[in-house]
Parts: sequence; C-alpha cells; structure tokens
Amino acid sequence: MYDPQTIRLKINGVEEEATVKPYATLLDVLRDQLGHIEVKEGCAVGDCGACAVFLDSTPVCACLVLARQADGAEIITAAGIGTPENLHPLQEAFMDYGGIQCGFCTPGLIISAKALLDENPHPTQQDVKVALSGNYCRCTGYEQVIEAVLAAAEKVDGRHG
Amino acid sequence: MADRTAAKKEGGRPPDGRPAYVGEGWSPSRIIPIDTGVMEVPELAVVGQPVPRIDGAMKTSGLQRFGADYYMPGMLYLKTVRSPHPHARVLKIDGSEALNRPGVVAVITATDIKGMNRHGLAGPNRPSLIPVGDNVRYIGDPVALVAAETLELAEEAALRVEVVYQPLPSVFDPVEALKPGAPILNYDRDNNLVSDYHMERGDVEKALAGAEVVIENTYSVPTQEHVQLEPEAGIATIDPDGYITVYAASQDPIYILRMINQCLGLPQNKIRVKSLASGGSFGVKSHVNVQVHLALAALVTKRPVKLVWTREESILAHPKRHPAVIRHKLGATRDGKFLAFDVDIIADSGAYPASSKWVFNVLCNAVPGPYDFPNIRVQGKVVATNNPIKGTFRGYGDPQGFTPTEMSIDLLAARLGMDPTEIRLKNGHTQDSRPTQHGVHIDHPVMLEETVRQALAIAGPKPKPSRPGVKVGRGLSSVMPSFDVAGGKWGAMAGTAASVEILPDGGGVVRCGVSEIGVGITTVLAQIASEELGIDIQNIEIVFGDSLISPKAGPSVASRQAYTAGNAVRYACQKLRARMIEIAARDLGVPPEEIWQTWGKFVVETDPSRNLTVQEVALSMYTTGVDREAYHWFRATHAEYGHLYVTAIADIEVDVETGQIEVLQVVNSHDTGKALNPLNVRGQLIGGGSQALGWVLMEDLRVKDGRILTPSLTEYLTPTSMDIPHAYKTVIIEAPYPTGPYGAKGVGEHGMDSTPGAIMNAIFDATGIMLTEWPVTPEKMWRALRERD
Repeated sequence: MYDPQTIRLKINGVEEEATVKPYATLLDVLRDQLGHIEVKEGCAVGDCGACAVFLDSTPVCACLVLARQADGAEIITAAGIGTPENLHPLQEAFMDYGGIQCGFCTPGLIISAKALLDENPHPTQQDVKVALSGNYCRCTGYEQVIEAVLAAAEKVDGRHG
Repeated sequence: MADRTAAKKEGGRPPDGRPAYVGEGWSPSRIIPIDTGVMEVPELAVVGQPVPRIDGAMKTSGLQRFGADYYMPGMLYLKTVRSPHPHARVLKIDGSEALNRPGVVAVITATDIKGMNRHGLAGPNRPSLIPVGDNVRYIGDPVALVAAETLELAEEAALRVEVVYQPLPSVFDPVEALKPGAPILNYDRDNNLVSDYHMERGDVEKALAGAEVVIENTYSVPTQEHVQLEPEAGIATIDPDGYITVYAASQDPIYILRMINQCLGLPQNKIRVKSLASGGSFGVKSHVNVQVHLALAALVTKRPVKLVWTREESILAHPKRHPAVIRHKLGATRDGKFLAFDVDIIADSGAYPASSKWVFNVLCNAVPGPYDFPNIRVQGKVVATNNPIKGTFRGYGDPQGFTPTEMSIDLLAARLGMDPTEIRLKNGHTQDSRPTQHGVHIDHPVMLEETVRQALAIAGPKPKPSRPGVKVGRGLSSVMPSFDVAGGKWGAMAGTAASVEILPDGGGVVRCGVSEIGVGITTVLAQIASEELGIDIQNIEIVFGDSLISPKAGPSVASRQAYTAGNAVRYACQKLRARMIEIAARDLGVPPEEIWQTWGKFVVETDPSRNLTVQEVALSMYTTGVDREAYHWFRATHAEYGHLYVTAIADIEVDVETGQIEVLQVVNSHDTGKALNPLNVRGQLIGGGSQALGWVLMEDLRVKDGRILTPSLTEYLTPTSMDIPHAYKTVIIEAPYPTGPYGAKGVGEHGMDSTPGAIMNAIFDATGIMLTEWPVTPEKMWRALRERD
C-alpha cells in the first residue's frame, strides 16, 4: 500500500493521470506533477485558502486532500473558471473593482466566490464575507474583493435571468 | 500640448479593449481635486482613470507565475538547515551522512563561499551561511543547504546534516542587552547597540517644568509579521560558462545582484537577477531571502536549483516590524497648545542589524507627526538581541512612531476636556512650520486640515450602540508620512531610470527596473506611457525588475515608484514623442511646430486631412534608421523626501461582557496628490488599513526566549473577511505635488500609518481605557475592563 499508485483526474475538462505516493496531497500532484501552477501554495496546512479548487463541485483546500482520495474526481481550478482569453464575469469584476493586488490569493478567492454564486446567486454582503472567510488576502483588505463578487453576482444573474 | 488633450477628448476615451474602466457603482470613496496654485494638472485621458490591472487577467486565472511556479529540467531542490539555538557557536558541520543518502547531490556550507559571505541593507552584517567558528544568533539562522533530486529527499537529508553547537548565553531584552556583561552579538563592536538617535530643539526640561499639564505614558509597541501570501521562493540557473540567472521576487533587483556579488565574489556581469511578480511583500522582500542561496547552490552543483520556503520558515527567518518601548512626556498649556514633547525610545533589532539603523531613524522621525512642538527631544536606541530579525515593513517605523503620539494627544484632550480634532488643528502644521523630520520641508500647501475636514464629513455622525452591553467609540488620528523623492543619502534610491521604445508596429515597450510587489506600479507606468504616446494601454509591454535589461529604478520601497519611476517613464516618453513629431513632420513635409498629436495620430494643424498614424511614424523610424528608444534618468534635487497628510477615523463597538471589538467603520482621508489610478490608491489605503487593524486588534507574534510561539498561520492570526470594518471609506484629496508626475505623491504605505492610532483612540473613547500595549485581543480588553471596574 506504500507503493506509488496511478490515479485519474479530470482537470478543467481534460483527463489526466499521475502516479502518486500514498502521502502526496492533491496540491503536490496538481502543481509539481501536472503543472497546474494556478493552484498556489501559501501554507500547505489549510489556513490560507490559496490552493482552493473544486473537487467534484465542492470547494476544498487541495493541500488538505490526499491525491489518492481524489482518484476519479473532477477538478476545476481557477484557470478552469476562465482564462485570460475567456474570463468569467467574476474574474472581470475582480479586475474592474480592484479586487486584485499581488494576485497570489486571487485564484483561491475566485473558487470560493464561484462556489458561493453557484449556490446563492443573490448573496448579501454578509453572505460574501462568510463565503470568503477561508481565504487569506493580505493586500486588499477584502473590501474591493467583496464589491467585485457582489457586482459579478448581478452581472451573472442579469445574463441568465 | 493642450490641443492634444482636446483632440483626445473629442474622440472620447481611448479604446482600452474593455467595456468600461470602472464597474457600475464602483467606489464609495470620494475624489476631491484641489487647485492649490502650485501647478496646472493637464487634462488626462488614461492617467487618473481607475484602469484595471494590466496583469489582472493572468492573476484572476491564477496563471501568473510566482517564484515557486517555475520548473526547469534537471532541477535540484534545496532545503535549508537552520539553527535550533538562539545563540551558539558552530563547532562542526558534517554533511557526510546526508550526502550518502540517495539523490542527495550536495551539502553546501560557508566553506563553499568564496566572497565576503555577508549581506544587509545597512551594511554587510548578515552571513548568508554561518561558518564553523562563528555564532548563530537567532533560531532559524542558516548553516547549510542540501541539494537533492526531489524536495522530499532534500528535506530528509537536511535532518541528517550534523551540526555541533556550543550554546552561548542569550539576551532577549534590549535593555538587558545594553548592560555591561551582556552577551555580545554585533560583529564590529563590543556592545549590542545597533544605532542611536538624538534630536533636540528648544529647551524641553524648562518647557515641561512650566507646562500647565503634562501627560506621561509608556507604550509597548509590538512587532508584526508580514504574512505576504507568497512565501519566499525562486529558482536559479547556471550556464556552462558560469553565468547565473536568479528568478525570485524582490523589491530591488540591483540590490540583490550586489549582494550576490558581495557574498559569493561573483562578478556582477556574470549575474542576472529577475525580480519576479511578488505575491505580496510589504517591505519583507527588500531583504535578501532565497537569492544568495540559490546562486550559491547553482554555482556549487552546476545545475538549476529551486528553493521554496515553507510558511513556517518564512515566519521564522524573515525580518519583521521593529517592536519598541516608547516613553512620552507631553507638556501643554491649559488651552491645549503643545509646549514640549520629551520622548525616549528603545527598539529591538533582533539578531542582525539588517536595516535597523534606517528604520529606527524613520521611527524616531515620525514621533512629532504633523504637529509643531516648540520644544522637542526624541532620543533612543535600537539594540541587537537574540530575537527574530527585524527589518522593513510597510511604514518603515512610521506606525510605531506615529501611533503612541496620537494616543498621548487623546489623553491630553481628555484631561483638558477638549475635542480631539480641535487640539490637533490647534497644533497642526501650518505653511510656516519647520518639521523636525529629516529631509522634509513644507514645500507645498499643507493639507492637514483638509484631510481632517473630509474625514469627518464622510464619516458621518458617531454611531449609536447597536444593542445593550456594547459601548461605541470614535477615534481620530492624523499623520504626516513621507515618500521618497531623491533617495537621501542612500545610493540605491538616488536616481531612477526608464527607457521607452516604440515598436515598428506602433506598440510600446517600457523598460524600468521597478518590482511589481502587488501595488500595481506596472499598470501605472503603462497608463503614463499610454497617455504620453497616445497609444492603447494593451499595446504596451512593461519590462520590470530585470537587472540585465530594465534600467535601474532602485528599490520599490518608501512609497516612491509612482513618483520616481513615474517621472522617469513620463520624461522618457516625452523625449520619444518629440522625436516622433520630428519624423512625422519630416514625412509630411511641414515644420515640427505644425504637427499636432491626437490620440494615435500626428496631424498637420492647418490641414487635419494630412496625418500619419503612430504606426506609420514608428515604421518610418524603423525603415529610415531613426532611434526608436528614449531613455531618461530622473533624480529630484529639490528635496530628499516629499510629505503628505493622512487622517483616519475609526468607529468601534466594544462588548463589555466579552471584550470583543467590532470595527464599524474606518475612514482614510489621504492627501494623495493626483491619483494616477484611483482604484489602486483606494486599494492601498484599504489594504494598509486592514494591516493596521490586524496589528492593533489581532496579530500577536509571541516570542519567548527567542522562539516564536506562533510559528504558523494557525497561531498567528491576520484579518479575514469576517474581521474587516463594516464600512471602509476613503477620501482622495488631489492637491498636486509640484514635481510629481501630473502632481502625484506617494501612497503605498500610509493606510498602515494612519489607522492604528484611530482604532486605539476609538477604544479609549468607548471605554475610557487607553491601553498601552496591543494587539487588543478580546482577552486583553476583557481584563482591562475588569481591572477598571
């Protein structure tokens, strides 16, 4: 059981395979083996939220999931929400409202914000604060991030409604 | 060039590829332009707009690469072996067992270092690796590096490096460290004094003796950990001929280049430092972190190497905010006029001087804040101990200097039954003031009163308690931070260069050695180039932070680059534009005076149908052999530092049963000069304010016997989205700075400077308790309330 084992992941819609050690985290595998550098490592123990990804539609800290637990799962990273050529309204709103400074925490914030809007398309400011409370951001003081999420909610809602 | 702007306006805002610069409903902040008569701010199309970050798309998708995101074929991983002792002699380092493990390529120690093996912002005082025979001076001091094929192998092998230490007596209190017989840390002296400060004006003793009221108080100002989201990380490569390239975030690539040269003895032309986009910094990356170790390991192993600090290493090893004990005697008349201020400061430098001398100077300089004291004496010492290293952190000593002063003023106001605002304005700087702060003179209109007035206006009335059992308080704090304009005596900051190139297709490249630590300076420089050249911002590339190809800009510190690099880029663009006008004139067969520049075009003034696009002119320059690049070296001579005023207001609610403090509102009213990008300015004020809120209410770096007891983010708490104020308001007061680009002043650090005093004074207002130590955790507040009752 200590031998490396091959796992399959569907990452941003693409099937990928990795041979992983039993103690490798999903974060290690996404970054070091599969090159998904859009998943950032800020603490590796679940405090900061920079490595947040969707694991079968649930937002998780990739550092807190063993890679083997994710075998067969569908993973969405921030780059799966939108890329520079095709940004998601949330990502555009982060730009327009000044929700980005250094950008290291941003992909994690995008995941948490997307998870919120998926579940609650009409969040209040308090809903947004609660949804982002697992993501540290040291630059922005959150204010403009929260404004961005609220604006994106309107935009997404307007588009679909 | 008034015509140019008019033409730009006529055509509307230049196309920027996005539907709107500003999201609907952006900004509850106010922007207040003020014409003080010092300069005419031109009408602008791109500068002054809330332009989104040019790197925003890369960052929101996560695809922006930071130091840890680089991988090279054949790359080795490094792990640092660090001292477990606060003070010990290194007797032996034996790497043989580690080296025998599979996959381990090298165990690197000081014996591999051919240069001076010392670095430091204020002189060569920190060894990059501690050699045998020398002493480790703090827990975390590096003694060896292990290079292995994988990180896991490197980490395992690092545990097998045998280091024999002889523990030495340690000292953790700066007062103790100054006493005869204390263990000595400094290299070059026989005591632990790193630096002292003495500034005196008037006769303080006499004035205090004659004062009708004297406030005496002693403040214990805490340290602070940066918690920049990106722990220190990078890679280095080495060419077969020995050329080394280091890729890692820093705040000054040339400084890092010099330190690699100094530590390792490599010639500077054989080193290239690429200062990558930084995942936050707040001053911490102005110090050397991984770069010298990376260059050394590449040199020893002849392979690409990668070094990423864990969060715990980052907290352990990088220099933090200086804690200080500050004693005040503030004398005044019965009607609240300041007579004398006698201040004594002792600060802890930690194990190495790092930048302590300079930070301590700024800390002491900050004490008088924006006020006139006819008699003032500030004296103090910064002292080496075996505590974690202290260094540069947003504000650079200003928050430690300003905050206690603001608190003593509120104590005085309370004693006299005066309004805290009134007492501030009564003693605040006027146009005739001669500030004691080094390098600062009043050379443009004083905006102190305006910042106070605007802060009060936007704050609204003091809130009522939201429920029984809580007390509401309002605090106000005014500060006078400075920003670098000419670098003072410090060589690295003296002079900033930029070069601007127009490409044959009409795009632009700006080369400038600033570092993008998250403040958006690259966006601001692109706005300036776009404005001056009349080309769209998305057609401009910014080459920053590269010691080889971006001209020297000096460190991205001291809230300076919007001013210094902004000027360098603006003047370089103006030189290039003049050349483009000449070529347009040549090609259109008219004298240059008849050419009129509109957005993207050069037009014959008398006959607008005859014109050339920027692209046509650029291509013509290329095909006819005209220099398409312009360079400008900017160095201000009128002053060493610019200064400005910020007033913060905080409204808080204290739960008297639990000691819990809820921050209802924080206002920052900032004398920014022209806001080159108000979205960025607002972000800096709020971000700084949030770090201040953390420092005052939450962040508690506990250190005992040199050991950090809060070693990770699990123990050291910084604000989350649940901890921020219910409302955050910013006022941007645009009183232009005469030599600033378009009238801009610096802005990066100042929310951190203004906000702490406002929160502490709000607690005093709510409870009547002026706590002299922070962070004011619920426990500390609860105890203080119990003691009082």
